[in-house]
Amino acid sequence: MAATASMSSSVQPEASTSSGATSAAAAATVFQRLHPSQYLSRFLAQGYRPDGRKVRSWREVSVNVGSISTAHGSSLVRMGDTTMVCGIKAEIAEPSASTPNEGFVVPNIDLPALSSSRFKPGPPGDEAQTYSNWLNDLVVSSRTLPLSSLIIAPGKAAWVIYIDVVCINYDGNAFDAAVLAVMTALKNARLPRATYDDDSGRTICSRTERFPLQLGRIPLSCSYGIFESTHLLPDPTSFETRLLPTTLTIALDESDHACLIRQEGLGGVLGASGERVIGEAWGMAEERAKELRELLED
Amino acid sequence: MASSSTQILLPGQPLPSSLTAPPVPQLGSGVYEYGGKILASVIGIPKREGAIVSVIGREESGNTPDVGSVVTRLSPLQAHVTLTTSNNRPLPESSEEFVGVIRIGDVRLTERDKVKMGECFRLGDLVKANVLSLGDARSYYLSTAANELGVVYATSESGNPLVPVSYQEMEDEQTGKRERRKVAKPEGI
Amino acid sequence: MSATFDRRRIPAPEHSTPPIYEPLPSSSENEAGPSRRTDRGPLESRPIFLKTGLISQANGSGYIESGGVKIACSVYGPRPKPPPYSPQGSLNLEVKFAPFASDPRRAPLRDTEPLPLSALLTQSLLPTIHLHLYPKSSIDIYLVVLESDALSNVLSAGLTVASAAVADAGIDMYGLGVGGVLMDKSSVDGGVGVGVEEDGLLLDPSKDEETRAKGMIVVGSMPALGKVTNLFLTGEVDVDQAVDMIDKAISASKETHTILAQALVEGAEERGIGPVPAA
Repeated sequence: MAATASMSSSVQPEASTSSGATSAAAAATVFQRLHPSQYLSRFLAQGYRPDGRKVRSWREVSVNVGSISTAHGSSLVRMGDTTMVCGIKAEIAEPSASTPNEGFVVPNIDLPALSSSRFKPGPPGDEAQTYSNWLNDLVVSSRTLPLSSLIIAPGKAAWVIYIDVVCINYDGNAFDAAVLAVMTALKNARLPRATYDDDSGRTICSRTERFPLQLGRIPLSCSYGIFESTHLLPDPTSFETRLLPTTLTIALDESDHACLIRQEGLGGVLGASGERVIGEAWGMAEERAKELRELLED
Repeated sequence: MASSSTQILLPGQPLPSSLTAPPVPQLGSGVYEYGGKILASVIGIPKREGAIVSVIGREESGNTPDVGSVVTRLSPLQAHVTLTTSNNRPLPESSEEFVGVIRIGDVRLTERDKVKMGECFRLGDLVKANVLSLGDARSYYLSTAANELGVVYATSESGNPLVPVSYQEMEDEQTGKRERRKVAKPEGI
Repeated sequence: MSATFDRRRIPAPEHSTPPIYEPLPSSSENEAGPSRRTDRGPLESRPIFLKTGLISQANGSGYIESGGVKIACSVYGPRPKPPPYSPQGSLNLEVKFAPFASDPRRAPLRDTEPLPLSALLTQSLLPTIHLHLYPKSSIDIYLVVLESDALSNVLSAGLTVASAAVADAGIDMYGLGVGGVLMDKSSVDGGVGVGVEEDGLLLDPSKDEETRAKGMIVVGSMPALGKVTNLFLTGEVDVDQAVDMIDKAISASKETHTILAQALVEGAEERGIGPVPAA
């Protein structure tokens, strides 16, 4: 009893100092809530971002592959707090009559209500639809997964590769994280060897033989936002994204050729030509893509 | 005399008997009574202050008085606001916003009949207010009828920050123009 | 087709079928017959991994791995509820399966399973929350199933993880809810193994085991208060046996409760709740 009494009396003064510290932190979050753009610009003036990194730096990335046993290939990517899970499922379908020598790739990105208070339950919202279309463009145009490699028997049977990305935690820059998740999952995927039996008209898969997908170019995406026409900010968080009227996405393949470049919103950086901004972003993207590619090779 | 324990309690767990000893304590936040025992209802540290026991968990964002809010819509009879902070803590951000109403009778403590909404608030003003009640289906009812309540931050017509000069006027320091507001008495004066 | 055409997703071929595998060689089929569990005892629960607070955007969150089930859960709220006025808080819960979470793939829109699951989970969770403290507000709970095997286990792990996320959000609760599943193995085609285990009861059945169930119960309970919050029985079970099964499921739930409690205390310490460290 005496011990608890002395414990509580010693805890008391510390508790009051710690509440002083939390109220300073609380004051900062109140300021962030009430004056978001002043909050951000004060950090940038000091050369830092609100999450503690340098203005021109990216968040840390970790990749975990093959943890989902119900998928043919899977990966989990964390980019800062943003978390994406990608699962590859292969099914078999009849090729369409116009392209009898090609299979199908169906990529989709889901941003469920789970991942952010901004999303509502129900069918995919605008943002998810946009990202799904970008991802489709990227995978198709860069021929990451050549459709001709997915054929089992011309005109009879072909693989359908369903690429589904689910966001678990949305803290901005979902597209970069999603692209990395897709590429690692594709590399990780193993499909059973399939043979089409002409007599029965059925495709039978081997239980023992598995093969990896034939991958073409592997693009990786790097995104930026431009704040108050002055700061080019790589890898924006969700808090920053709302303050960035202009966004820029560059996807590069292994030989640093562009697979996708998108700029949304008017404007650029004051005193710099659009060409220079893109050039600068491209240079940073080359370095970042190289870093990400190392994760992909592991 | 306040006393606390250092053990984290979980919902459904009884408070240590040292905190619930007679005189039988009153229930504060984070606790409830069940089968004659006092149990925790949130994760946190139990604490007894005088006659009240509570469990202190994460920073709560309850519907408690002393709210910071931003004026979104003005009408002659009431000001519509969105609630952004409560007890100096930001409310969780979400697609649904907490909305409140300051009715004309709740703006000032004195001369209630002479209040003109447009001379008290402007769109975008940051207002400190008390929560009067849960209000109607849509909004909480708020009041600024106290000296320390009212506009705490505002920008002038030309977009510069305003500085309070009296209980009903604020000044744009760059242009020197004054605008009328129901000004909150700044802290520490 | 045109009526159900989904313009919000990248189009897929109209029909695709999951891979059909060649039949197993007959010798191995015998071995893979109605076998007994080898990885754990019949009344031993699955190993559980549980962690709270991983989803930074949510007010509270949890992630659970229980055998072949992986579920992420986040809680948003209490947040303002659109009209009409309600004197107590409302609880919204939605379960969603990732398309790759099960075999075969779950095509969006064609998946009807989440609805009854959501309803059952809501019922199990409702008695654990002090909703009367949250007038005009809603508490929104979202679960995304990333991997699944037996549905009964999705339900029981779902309740455990949802409860963890609600507690992590700092929402007032009566107690922590946990789920437990118990199944009675059918003796008809149970074959060789049944005679050995006296009562043929299995805790936390796997997907294969579930297909051989004669009766099954999923119990939601608050072990701290000794209360059952929901009871879901399917199949054919005698009354005495049902009582026995409930008992066993609840005593197994107590183990889960211990794991849940430990995860929550660790999560609370990470959030800065706890004894003030000496300076």
